[in-house]
Amino acid sequence: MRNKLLTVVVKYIYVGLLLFVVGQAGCRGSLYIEKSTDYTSQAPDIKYLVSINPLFEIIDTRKAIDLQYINSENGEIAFADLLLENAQKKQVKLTVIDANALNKNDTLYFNHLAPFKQQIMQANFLQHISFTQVEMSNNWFVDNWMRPDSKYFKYNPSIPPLYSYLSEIYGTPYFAVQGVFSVVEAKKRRWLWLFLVPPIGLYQFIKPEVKTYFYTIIVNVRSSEIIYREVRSFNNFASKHNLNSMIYDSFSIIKMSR
Amino acid sequence: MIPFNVVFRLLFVFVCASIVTPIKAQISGYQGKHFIFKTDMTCYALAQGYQSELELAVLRKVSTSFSYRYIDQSYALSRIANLANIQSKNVALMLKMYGNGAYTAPRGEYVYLKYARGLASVDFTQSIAGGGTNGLPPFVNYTLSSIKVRDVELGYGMQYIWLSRWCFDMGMGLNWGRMLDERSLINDTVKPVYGPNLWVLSNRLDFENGFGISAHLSVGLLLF
Repeated sequence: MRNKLLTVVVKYIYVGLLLFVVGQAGCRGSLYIEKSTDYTSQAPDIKYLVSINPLFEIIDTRKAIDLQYINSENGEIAFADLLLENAQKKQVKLTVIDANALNKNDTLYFNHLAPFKQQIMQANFLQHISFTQVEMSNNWFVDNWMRPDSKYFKYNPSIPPLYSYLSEIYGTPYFAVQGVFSVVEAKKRRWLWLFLVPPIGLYQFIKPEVKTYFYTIIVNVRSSEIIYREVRSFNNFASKHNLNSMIYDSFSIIKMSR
Repeated sequence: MIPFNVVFRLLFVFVCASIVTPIKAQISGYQGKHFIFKTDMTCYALAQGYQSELELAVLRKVSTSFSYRYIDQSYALSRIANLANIQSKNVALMLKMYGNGAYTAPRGEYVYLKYARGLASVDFTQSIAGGGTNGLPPFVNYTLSSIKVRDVELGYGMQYIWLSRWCFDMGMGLNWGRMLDERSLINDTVKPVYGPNLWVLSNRLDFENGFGISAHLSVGLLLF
């Protein structure tokens, strides 16, 4: 009788734990990559990348003031550190231009990099691009199982050529716009969790609905084109732990030359 | 149903093809780490046994693992209300397909297919008609050893990596267990209970072999 009771308790705890971990681990996500058709030949050249003011924003719709300034600013510093750490692991020299760390005499950022970033974002959102099929290798297995799903630009999105001089100043033609955007909302149907698995469902009852996006856009200023862009989304907090492996993977794909 | 040997061969060919295909610079794993060593805690909790497993992320959304498991489990045989004790040792090959695009293997939710083969020995008692009277014992004890066993399991799970080092893996699936032994002694008694470790359904469904729900809860280390 005692053994039977113990087995039932173990089973109940097990099912509850499974629901708990699946719910809190944020295991749903997606990845979209678009790049130029000749990206793989350019990838080995991306040894030095300049990231223009990486953005980190948390919007908490449960609060009166949506934008969480303090969390976002702390997160921005941590995010920049993660970018630097993971770039170093993948042998990419990364310079992060942090607008918060600049002083008012730093005219290069305010006169050139800020409008440049604006141009990149505009080109990214306003230019409608069609895509083409590219056979990357003769190996079906490699193409379908070892590479992330990617789309290839028929014509690369273009930016104004007037920023090509930045490659002389920074010593590289590759500039990146990177960011994290996280939205926190009150959970719907949260009473269900409490009803279904009362003790363990308490976490789900308290936990809000979170959607986080991580994006990267890479530009070649010499050819004045966007050559690579990716967006990842996942349903969890933009914590260091959650971002770390994704940023590593992102740099792995950026450096992927085959 | 696809024969067990065919499943095993398909799994083996897929795993070999994954490993021999050029791997460098293609698979990021979890921050560059591809190997996980772990142990299944449900073996201790439910079956007084142990299990060790080595998992390798071979593709962006696929990992494979090799494991060894020993269990010493008691079952209530519902038809004659007696106990059976099954000791089994098996090796398993598991293939995990991860569904998350943002994270790469070995983190996130996955579906898995596991194939295991090994040997088992069975101790069980069977009541005798009219036993306990006329000088007859009420039960007879039987011991059968070196029984070949096969398991196939298909399920869903979730692997979580904490602090870039600790790994928690939970999964639940449908398990088909078979004992390859033709002796009629175990046909209706032990065979239907072998396999699942959480809920045995084959007794209720009147299946010849073990069928039910199995689960694993593994804890391990992300190695390199």
